Amino acid sequence: MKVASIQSLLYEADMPALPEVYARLTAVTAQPGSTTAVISAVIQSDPGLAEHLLKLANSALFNFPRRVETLVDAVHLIGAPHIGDLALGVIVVGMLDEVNSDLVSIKSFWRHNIACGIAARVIAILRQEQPIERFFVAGLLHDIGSLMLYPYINEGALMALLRDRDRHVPLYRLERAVLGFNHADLGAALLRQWALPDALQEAVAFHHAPSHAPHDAMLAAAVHVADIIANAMELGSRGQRRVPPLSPQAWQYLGLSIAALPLILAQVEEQLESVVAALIT
Amino acid sequence: MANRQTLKTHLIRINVGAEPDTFCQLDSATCDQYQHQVEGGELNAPMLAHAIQDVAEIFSFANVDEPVMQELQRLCVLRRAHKLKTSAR
Repeated sequence: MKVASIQSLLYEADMPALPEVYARLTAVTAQPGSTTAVISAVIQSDPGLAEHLLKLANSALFNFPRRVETLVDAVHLIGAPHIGDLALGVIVVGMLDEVNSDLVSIKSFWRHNIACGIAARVIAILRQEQPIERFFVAGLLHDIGSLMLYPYINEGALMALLRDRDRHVPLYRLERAVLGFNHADLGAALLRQWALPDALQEAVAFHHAPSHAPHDAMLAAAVHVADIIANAMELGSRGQRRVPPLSPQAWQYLGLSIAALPLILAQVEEQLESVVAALIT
Repeated sequence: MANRQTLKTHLIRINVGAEPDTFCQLDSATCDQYQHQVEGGELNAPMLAHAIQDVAEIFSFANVDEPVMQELQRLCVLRRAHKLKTSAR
Protein backbone atom coordinates (compact mmCIF):
# COMPACT_ATOMS: atom_id res chain seq x y z
CA MET A 1 0.00 0.00 0.00
CA LYS A 2 1.54 3.27 -1.14
CA VAL A 3 0.88 6.51 0.70
CA ALA A 4 1.28 9.57 -1.51
CA SER A 5 0.23 12.45 0.66
CA ILE A 6 -1.80 13.55 3.66
CA GLN A 7 -4.69 14.45 1.37
CA SER A 8 -4.73 11.09 -0.42
CA LEU A 9 -4.58 9.22 2.90
CA LEU A 10 -7.37 11.35 4.28
CA TYR A 11 -9.41 10.55 1.18
CA GLU A 12 -8.67 6.80 1.43
CA ALA A 13 -9.46 6.70 5.15
CA ASP A 14 -12.91 8.13 4.40
CA MET A 15 -13.48 9.33 7.94
CA PRO A 16 -17.09 10.05 8.90
CA ALA A 17 -18.32 13.64 9.04
CA LEU A 18 -19.26 15.15 12.39
CA PRO A 19 -23.00 14.72 13.02
CA GLU A 20 -25.33 17.61 12.41
CA VAL A 21 -26.11 17.92 16.14
CA TYR A 22 -22.58 19.26 16.73
CA ALA A 23 -23.08 22.12 14.26
CA ARG A 24 -26.42 22.98 15.86
CA LEU A 25 -24.87 22.84 19.32
CA THR A 26 -21.96 25.15 18.46
CA ALA A 27 -24.41 27.56 16.80
CA VAL A 28 -26.73 27.66 19.78
CA THR A 29 -23.94 27.98 22.39
CA ALA A 30 -22.43 30.86 20.38
CA GLN A 31 -25.65 32.86 20.71
CA PRO A 32 -25.42 35.02 23.86
CA GLY A 33 -29.08 34.65 24.80
CA SER A 34 -29.30 30.85 24.59
CA THR A 35 -30.81 29.32 27.72
CA THR A 36 -29.69 26.04 29.26
CA ALA A 37 -33.09 24.62 28.29
CA VAL A 38 -32.54 25.46 24.62
CA ILE A 39 -28.99 24.05 24.66
CA SER A 40 -30.21 20.92 26.46
CA ALA A 41 -32.95 20.42 23.88
CA VAL A 42 -30.38 20.39 21.10
CA ILE A 43 -28.26 17.83 22.96
CA GLN A 44 -31.32 15.75 23.78
CA SER A 45 -32.03 15.33 20.07
CA ASP A 46 -29.11 12.86 20.14
CA PRO A 47 -29.90 10.49 23.04
CA GLY A 48 -26.46 8.88 22.95
CA LEU A 49 -24.73 12.23 23.24
CA ALA A 50 -27.08 13.27 26.05
CA GLU A 51 -26.42 10.06 27.97
CA HIS A 52 -22.64 10.32 27.69
CA LEU A 53 -22.59 14.01 28.62
CA LEU A 54 -24.65 13.28 31.71
CA LYS A 55 -22.25 10.46 32.64
CA LEU A 56 -19.33 12.83 32.13
CA ALA A 57 -20.98 15.44 34.34
CA ASN A 58 -21.19 12.77 37.07
CA SER A 59 -17.59 11.64 36.61
CA ALA A 60 -14.54 12.56 38.68
CA LEU A 61 -13.62 15.06 35.96
CA PHE A 62 -15.98 17.52 37.68
CA ASN A 63 -16.43 15.91 41.07
CA PHE A 64 -19.63 17.84 41.73
CA PRO A 65 -20.74 17.48 45.37
CA ARG A 66 -24.10 15.96 44.44
CA ARG A 67 -25.36 13.74 41.65
CA VAL A 68 -26.29 15.58 38.45
CA GLU A 69 -29.75 14.22 37.64
CA THR A 70 -30.73 16.02 34.45
CA LEU A 71 -29.09 17.31 31.31
CA VAL A 72 -30.35 20.84 32.09
CA ASP A 73 -28.50 20.64 35.41
CA ALA A 74 -25.38 19.36 33.62
CA VAL A 75 -25.40 22.23 31.12
CA HIS A 76 -26.02 24.72 33.92
CA LEU A 77 -23.21 23.39 36.12
CA ILE A 78 -20.63 22.86 33.36
CA GLY A 79 -21.53 26.09 31.57
CA ALA A 80 -22.73 26.77 28.04
CA PRO A 81 -19.31 27.93 26.75
CA HIS A 82 -17.77 24.56 27.70
CA ILE A 83 -20.47 22.09 26.70
CA GLY A 84 -19.59 22.26 22.98
CA ASP A 85 -16.00 21.15 23.59
CA LEU A 86 -17.13 18.27 25.81
CA ALA A 87 -19.76 17.24 23.25
CA LEU A 88 -17.07 17.18 20.56
CA GLY A 89 -15.02 14.76 22.65
CA VAL A 90 -18.03 12.51 23.31
CA ILE A 91 -19.00 12.51 19.61
CA VAL A 92 -15.52 11.67 18.29
CA VAL A 93 -14.86 8.89 20.83
CA GLY A 94 -18.26 7.40 19.93
CA MET A 95 -17.70 7.67 16.17
CA LEU A 96 -14.20 6.19 16.08
CA ASP A 97 -14.70 2.97 18.01
CA GLU A 98 -12.58 0.62 15.92
CA VAL A 99 -8.92 0.41 15.09
CA ASN A 100 -7.13 -1.56 12.40
CA SER A 101 -3.83 -2.10 14.16
CA ASP A 102 -1.41 -4.78 15.26
CA LEU A 103 0.05 -2.28 17.72
CA VAL A 104 -2.84 -1.24 19.89
CA SER A 105 -6.48 -1.88 20.84
CA ILE A 106 -9.09 0.87 20.55
CA LYS A 107 -9.59 0.79 24.31
CA SER A 108 -5.88 1.31 24.96
CA PHE A 109 -5.79 4.05 22.32
CA TRP A 110 -8.65 6.04 23.90
CA ARG A 111 -7.39 5.37 27.42
CA HIS A 112 -4.12 7.05 26.51
CA ASN A 113 -5.90 9.98 24.88
CA ILE A 114 -8.33 10.40 27.79
CA ALA A 115 -5.41 10.39 30.27
CA CYS A 116 -3.73 13.06 28.14
CA GLY A 117 -6.94 15.11 28.10
CA ILE A 118 -7.26 14.94 31.88
CA ALA A 119 -3.61 15.93 32.39
CA ALA A 120 -3.95 18.86 29.94
CA ARG A 121 -7.09 19.99 31.79
CA VAL A 122 -5.31 19.84 35.18
CA ILE A 123 -2.47 21.92 33.70
CA ALA A 124 -5.07 24.46 32.49
CA ILE A 125 -6.61 24.59 35.98
CA LEU A 126 -3.20 25.15 37.59
CA ARG A 127 -2.51 27.96 35.11
CA GLN A 128 -6.07 29.33 35.35
CA GLU A 129 -6.44 29.07 31.58
CA GLN A 130 -9.72 29.30 29.69
CA PRO A 131 -11.64 27.75 28.04
CA ILE A 132 -10.77 24.83 30.24
CA GLU A 133 -12.58 22.07 28.34
CA ARG A 134 -10.70 23.08 25.18
CA PHE A 135 -7.61 21.66 26.91
CA PHE A 136 -9.43 18.42 27.71
CA VAL A 137 -10.68 17.90 24.16
CA ALA A 138 -7.30 18.87 22.64
CA GLY A 139 -5.66 16.12 24.72
CA LEU A 140 -8.47 13.72 23.84
CA LEU A 141 -7.95 14.25 20.09
CA HIS A 142 -4.18 14.67 19.99
CA ASP A 143 -3.40 11.24 18.48
CA ILE A 144 -6.48 10.94 16.28
CA GLY A 145 -4.32 10.88 13.14
CA SER A 146 -2.92 7.51 14.26
CA LEU A 147 -6.29 5.87 13.61
CA MET A 148 -5.87 6.63 9.90
CA LEU A 149 -2.20 5.68 9.87
CA TYR A 150 -2.36 2.28 11.58
CA PRO A 151 -3.39 0.30 8.46
CA TYR A 152 -0.32 1.67 6.65
CA ILE A 153 1.90 0.89 9.63
CA ASN A 154 0.58 -2.67 9.64
CA GLU A 155 1.30 -3.30 5.98
CA GLY A 156 4.23 -1.12 5.14
CA ALA A 157 7.88 -0.69 5.87
CA LEU A 158 7.07 1.21 9.04
CA MET A 159 6.22 -1.93 11.00
CA ALA A 160 9.53 -3.56 10.05
CA LEU A 161 11.40 -0.41 11.02
CA LEU A 162 9.44 -0.14 14.22
CA ARG A 163 10.23 -3.71 15.24
CA ASP A 164 13.86 -3.21 14.39
CA ARG A 165 14.33 0.19 15.97
CA ASP A 166 11.76 0.23 18.74
CA ARG A 167 14.47 0.84 21.27
CA HIS A 168 15.99 3.76 19.44
CA VAL A 169 13.53 5.92 17.48
CA PRO A 170 10.16 7.39 18.50
CA LEU A 171 7.32 6.25 16.20
CA TYR A 172 6.38 9.81 15.21
CA ARG A 173 9.90 10.33 13.84
CA LEU A 174 9.77 7.02 11.96
CA GLU A 175 6.44 8.04 10.44
CA ARG A 176 7.91 11.29 9.15
CA ALA A 177 11.09 9.61 7.91
CA VAL A 178 9.14 7.01 5.91
CA LEU A 179 6.02 8.94 4.86
CA GLY A 180 7.13 12.56 4.95
CA PHE A 181 4.44 13.37 7.53
CA ASN A 182 3.29 11.91 10.82
CA HIS A 183 0.12 11.21 12.79
CA ALA A 184 0.11 14.77 14.17
CA ASP A 185 -0.03 16.28 10.65
CA LEU A 186 -2.72 13.81 9.66
CA GLY A 187 -4.81 14.47 12.76
CA ALA A 188 -4.65 18.21 12.19
CA ALA A 189 -5.75 17.69 8.57
CA LEU A 190 -8.78 15.73 9.78
CA LEU A 191 -9.69 18.47 12.25
CA ARG A 192 -9.37 20.99 9.41
CA GLN A 193 -11.69 18.84 7.29
CA TRP A 194 -14.17 18.90 10.18
CA ALA A 195 -13.82 22.71 10.34
CA LEU A 196 -12.84 22.59 14.02
CA PRO A 197 -11.21 25.64 15.66
CA ASP A 198 -7.69 26.62 14.59
CA ALA A 199 -6.39 26.30 18.16
CA LEU A 200 -7.40 22.62 18.27
CA GLN A 201 -5.84 21.96 14.86
CA GLU A 202 -2.59 23.55 16.07
CA ALA A 203 -2.50 21.65 19.36
CA VAL A 204 -2.87 18.37 17.46
CA ALA A 205 -0.40 19.35 14.72
CA PHE A 206 2.32 20.50 17.13
CA HIS A 207 1.95 18.22 20.13
CA HIS A 208 5.43 16.80 19.44
CA ALA A 209 6.90 20.23 18.53
CA PRO A 210 4.92 22.76 20.58
CA SER A 211 7.39 25.60 20.16
CA HIS A 212 6.49 25.66 16.44
CA ALA A 213 2.80 26.37 17.10
CA PRO A 214 2.25 29.73 15.40
CA HIS A 215 -0.80 31.03 17.31
CA ASP A 216 -1.73 29.12 20.48
CA ALA A 217 1.51 27.84 21.94
CA MET A 218 -0.11 27.43 25.38
CA LEU A 219 -2.59 24.78 24.24
CA ALA A 220 0.08 22.93 22.24
CA ALA A 221 2.52 23.07 25.18
CA ALA A 222 -0.10 21.76 27.62
CA VAL A 223 -0.97 18.82 25.32
CA HIS A 224 2.73 18.11 24.75
CA VAL A 225 3.46 17.84 28.48
CA ALA A 226 0.19 15.98 29.13
CA ASP A 227 1.10 13.40 26.45
CA ILE A 228 4.47 12.84 28.14
CA ILE A 229 2.76 12.36 31.51
CA ALA A 230 0.17 9.92 30.10
CA ASN A 231 2.94 7.89 28.46
CA ALA A 232 5.08 7.96 31.60
CA MET A 233 2.16 6.67 33.66
CA GLU A 234 1.62 3.88 31.08
CA LEU A 235 -2.08 4.66 30.86
CA GLY A 236 -3.00 3.17 27.50
CA SER A 237 -0.89 3.65 24.42
CA ARG A 238 -0.95 4.68 20.78
CA GLY A 239 1.35 1.81 19.92
CA GLN A 240 4.80 2.51 21.28
CA ARG A 241 5.23 2.33 25.02
CA ARG A 242 7.89 4.97 25.37
CA VAL A 243 7.91 8.49 26.79
CA PRO A 244 8.61 10.97 23.98
CA PRO A 245 11.27 13.66 24.45
CA LEU A 246 10.22 16.80 26.34
CA SER A 247 10.48 20.23 24.76
CA PRO A 248 12.19 22.21 27.56
CA GLN A 249 10.81 25.42 25.98
CA ALA A 250 7.27 24.05 26.33
CA TRP A 251 7.77 23.27 30.01
CA GLN A 252 9.25 26.71 30.56
CA TYR A 253 6.37 28.32 28.67
CA LEU A 254 3.83 26.62 30.94
CA GLY A 255 5.59 28.21 33.92
CA LEU A 256 4.73 25.34 36.25
CA SER A 257 6.86 24.29 39.19
CA ILE A 258 8.29 20.77 39.21
CA ALA A 259 6.46 20.44 42.52
CA ALA A 260 3.18 20.46 40.52
CA LEU A 261 3.99 17.06 38.98
CA PRO A 262 2.78 14.85 41.88
CA LEU A 263 -0.54 16.74 41.91
CA ILE A 264 -1.03 16.28 38.15
CA LEU A 265 -0.24 12.56 38.36
CA ALA A 266 -2.57 12.12 41.33
CA GLN A 267 -5.43 13.90 39.56
CA VAL A 268 -5.02 11.81 36.41
CA GLU A 269 -4.98 8.64 38.51
CA GLU A 270 -8.06 9.73 40.45
CA GLN A 271 -10.16 10.78 37.46
CA LEU A 272 -9.20 8.34 34.71
CA GLU A 273 -11.42 5.32 35.36
CA SER A 274 -14.64 7.27 35.76
CA VAL A 275 -13.96 9.37 32.64
CA VAL A 276 -13.15 6.22 30.65
CA ALA A 277 -16.40 4.67 31.89
CA ALA A 278 -18.34 7.80 30.89
CA LEU A 279 -16.89 7.99 27.37
CA ILE A 280 -16.38 4.37 26.35
CA THR A 281 -19.28 1.96 26.46
CA MET B 1 20.91 -0.13 54.87
CA ALA B 2 23.08 2.59 56.32
CA ASN B 3 23.29 5.03 53.44
CA ARG B 4 22.38 5.60 49.83
CA GLN B 5 25.63 4.11 48.58
CA THR B 6 24.62 0.88 50.26
CA LEU B 7 21.27 0.97 48.47
CA LYS B 8 22.93 1.61 45.11
CA THR B 9 25.47 -1.16 45.71
CA HIS B 10 22.66 -3.46 46.72
CA LEU B 11 20.66 -2.65 43.59
CA ILE B 12 23.70 -3.25 41.40
CA ARG B 13 24.31 -6.57 43.14
CA ILE B 14 20.74 -7.87 42.77
CA ASN B 15 20.67 -6.48 39.20
CA VAL B 16 17.43 -8.30 38.01
CA GLY B 17 18.62 -8.26 34.42
CA ALA B 18 18.94 -4.49 34.11
CA GLU B 19 21.27 -2.78 31.68
CA PRO B 20 24.67 -2.60 33.46
CA ASP B 21 24.51 1.17 34.01
CA THR B 22 20.83 1.48 34.99
CA PHE B 23 21.60 1.59 38.69
CA CYS B 24 25.04 3.22 38.40
CA GLN B 25 23.38 6.27 36.84
CA LEU B 26 21.14 6.94 39.84
CA ASP B 27 22.00 10.33 41.27
CA SER B 28 22.44 10.98 44.99
CA ALA B 29 19.21 12.89 45.56
CA THR B 30 17.12 10.22 43.83
CA CYS B 31 18.88 7.47 45.79
CA ASP B 32 18.12 9.33 49.01
CA GLN B 33 14.43 9.46 48.13
CA TYR B 34 14.31 5.75 47.26
CA GLN B 35 16.29 4.94 50.39
CA HIS B 36 13.67 6.74 52.46
CA GLN B 37 10.95 4.45 51.11
CA VAL B 38 13.00 1.32 51.68
CA GLU B 39 13.97 2.27 55.21
CA GLY B 40 10.37 3.15 56.01
CA GLY B 41 9.41 -0.39 55.02
CA GLU B 42 7.11 0.88 52.26
CA LEU B 43 9.17 -0.84 49.56
CA ASN B 44 11.83 -3.49 49.37
CA ALA B 45 14.98 -3.26 47.31
CA PRO B 46 14.20 -6.01 44.75
CA MET B 47 10.82 -4.45 43.93
CA LEU B 48 12.47 -1.08 43.63
CA ALA B 49 15.12 -2.58 41.36
CA HIS B 50 12.44 -4.02 39.06
CA ALA B 51 10.60 -0.71 38.97
CA ILE B 52 13.78 1.27 38.20
CA GLN B 53 14.61 -1.10 35.36
CA ASP B 54 11.11 -1.06 33.83
CA VAL B 55 10.75 2.69 34.02
CA ALA B 56 14.25 3.28 32.62
CA GLU B 57 13.18 1.36 29.51
CA ILE B 58 9.98 3.39 29.13
CA PHE B 59 12.04 6.58 29.45
CA SER B 60 14.67 5.45 26.93
CA PHE B 61 13.67 8.17 24.38
CA ALA B 62 13.19 10.85 26.99
CA ASN B 63 15.67 13.61 27.74
CA VAL B 64 16.19 12.60 31.37
CA ASP B 65 18.86 15.24 31.84
CA GLU B 66 15.99 17.74 32.21
CA PRO B 67 15.12 18.18 35.92
CA VAL B 68 11.37 17.86 35.25
CA MET B 69 11.91 14.54 33.47
CA GLN B 70 14.11 13.29 36.31
CA GLU B 71 11.32 14.06 38.75
CA LEU B 72 8.70 12.47 36.50
CA GLN B 73 10.84 9.35 36.20
CA ARG B 74 11.32 9.21 39.98
CA LEU B 75 7.57 9.51 40.58
CA CYS B 76 6.90 6.78 38.01
CA VAL B 77 9.44 4.45 39.66
CA LEU B 78 7.72 4.87 43.04
CA ARG B 79 4.28 4.46 41.44
CA ARG B 80 5.34 1.25 39.70
CA ALA B 81 7.11 -0.13 42.77
CA HIS B 82 3.99 0.42 44.87
CA LYS B 83 1.89 -1.29 42.20
CA LEU B 84 4.29 -4.25 42.22
CA LYS B 85 3.94 -4.42 45.99
CA THR B 86 0.14 -4.32 45.78
CA SER B 87 -0.01 -7.02 43.12
CA ALA B 88 2.40 -9.22 45.10
CA ARG B 89 0.05 -9.31 48.11
